[in-house]
Amino acid sequence: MSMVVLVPSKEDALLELVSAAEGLERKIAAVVPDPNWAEGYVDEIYRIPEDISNDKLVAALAAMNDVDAFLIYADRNGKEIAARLGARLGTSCYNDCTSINKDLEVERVAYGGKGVAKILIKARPAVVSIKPRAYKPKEPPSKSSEVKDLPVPEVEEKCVIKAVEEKELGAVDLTKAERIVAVGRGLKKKEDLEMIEELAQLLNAAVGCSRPIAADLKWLPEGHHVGMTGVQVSPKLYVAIGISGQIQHTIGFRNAEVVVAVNIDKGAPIFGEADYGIVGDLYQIVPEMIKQLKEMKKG
Amino acid sequence: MPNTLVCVKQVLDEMEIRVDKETRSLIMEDVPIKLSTIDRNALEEAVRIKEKHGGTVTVVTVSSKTPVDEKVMKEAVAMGADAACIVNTGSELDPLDTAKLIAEVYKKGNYDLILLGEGSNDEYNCAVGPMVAELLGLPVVTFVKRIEVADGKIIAERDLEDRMVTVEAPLPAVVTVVNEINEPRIPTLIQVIKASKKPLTKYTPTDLGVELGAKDRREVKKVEAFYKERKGVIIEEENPEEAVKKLLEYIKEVIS
Repeated sequence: MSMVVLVPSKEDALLELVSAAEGLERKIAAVVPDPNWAEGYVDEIYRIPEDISNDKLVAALAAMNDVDAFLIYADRNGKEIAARLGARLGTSCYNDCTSINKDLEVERVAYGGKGVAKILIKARPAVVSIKPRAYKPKEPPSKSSEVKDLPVPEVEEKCVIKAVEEKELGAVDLTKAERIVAVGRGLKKKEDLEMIEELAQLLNAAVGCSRPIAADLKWLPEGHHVGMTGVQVSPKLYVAIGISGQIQHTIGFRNAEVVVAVNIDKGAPIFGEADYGIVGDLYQIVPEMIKQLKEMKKG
Repeated sequence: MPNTLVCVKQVLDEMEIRVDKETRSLIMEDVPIKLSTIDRNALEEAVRIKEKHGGTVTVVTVSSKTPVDEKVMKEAVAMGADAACIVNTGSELDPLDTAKLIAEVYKKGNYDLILLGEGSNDEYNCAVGPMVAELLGLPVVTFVKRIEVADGKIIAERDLEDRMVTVEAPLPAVVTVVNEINEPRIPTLIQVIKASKKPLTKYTPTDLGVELGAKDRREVKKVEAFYKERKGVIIEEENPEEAVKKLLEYIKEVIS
């Protein structure tokens, strides 16, 4: 029987992929370095060496038989694996899919996020990667799993890893935050984050940011980056300060209940994505918000 | 003296696509074409490598149904390329089609390095780069924030979610770069004018011996607008105190 093969990069990822695979009405297999990740969640477990190189993993996956679809976890490295596998198998690939059904029809962004595309994949095996957090982790386990070793072909590995440096991501989990105050390039210096943090505290909110603030300027750890390539959040309140409103960012908070924007530019696209907007200088508006919120608390 | 092939994509400017609020459909008329943002970073990186190490920079673009906008192409070349190449297909494409076409263009030259942006503004599939590498049997390093070119090899830093990974790979190699790798230059008018004089080669899929397969591999069923109703209340008070007062009144229930 044809199967769906899950390729996660970590345990949480595996559980999300299991949820994605549930509706596909096929036997489910997982390719994992530690069988404990998948025990009870899938029909077959294929063990691979820990820290297997991308070259070897792609070769090993390509050699599998009776596969209808590969569901790979769409973190950055996963997207590379999916693309390479799709090219090797001649079936192409679609990355960052937010849903998949038993016909192997997937949904993903179109036009940078302005649209949503539904794509029916006809090629077999279909190769897709599933967007992180598109599915909730599957609980509880309910299957009995067979464990085997996945044969890994001898391949020439041309890339050599010289160093790995862990990142400080910040302890925040914005996906659980009910309120978020986010800041963008309108902020002039790192020190000015202090007033943003004060505002967030008064609102009982977490602090978020657009991509440049985290990835480029490094004023905040990357866990605070809200956007298409960062975290997607769904708070009750999202306050966007000094953020112009590029779709790569706005796609990150589009499920927020109430959106407030503060921007000095009346024409900034953010105002089209907000319920309430103040056209003004954040260096005047934010201190005023802090002042009035403090008064509200007293009274 | 590395010769670099930079693959760029012309995309509809997503910021100019509007949503018809009544029909909830995308308004695609009169949407300008631009060079995909992160492809600019790839091109900038290629030009910096040339400035440091010598060699040449060739820009290649593949177009699907909309033919290539030659003005946009000229602006790309003006950033510092020596030659340009256009593949007009007039057909719907998937990433594997594009990768096959680029692989054939690569074979027609003498390149040491292929650079691309991490993903395009419109689809952000992040697939073409690794696919080109796979088709050509070349090493690939994706999501690179820093590249150094040394003797016959590159040392590249991958910017992954929770770690930075430094990788060494022999040339020829494929590298996809992240937005944060550099700040792309804006060409001067003179550079744009000079760009017209650079050699431009055009190919069709038939010229390259590539059979397109997108239609057989998938069917795009629907593209819907994402639309969420927002109140769009704009507070334009002169006085910050008044403005904030109004705002807090509007959102008092959410913040209580």
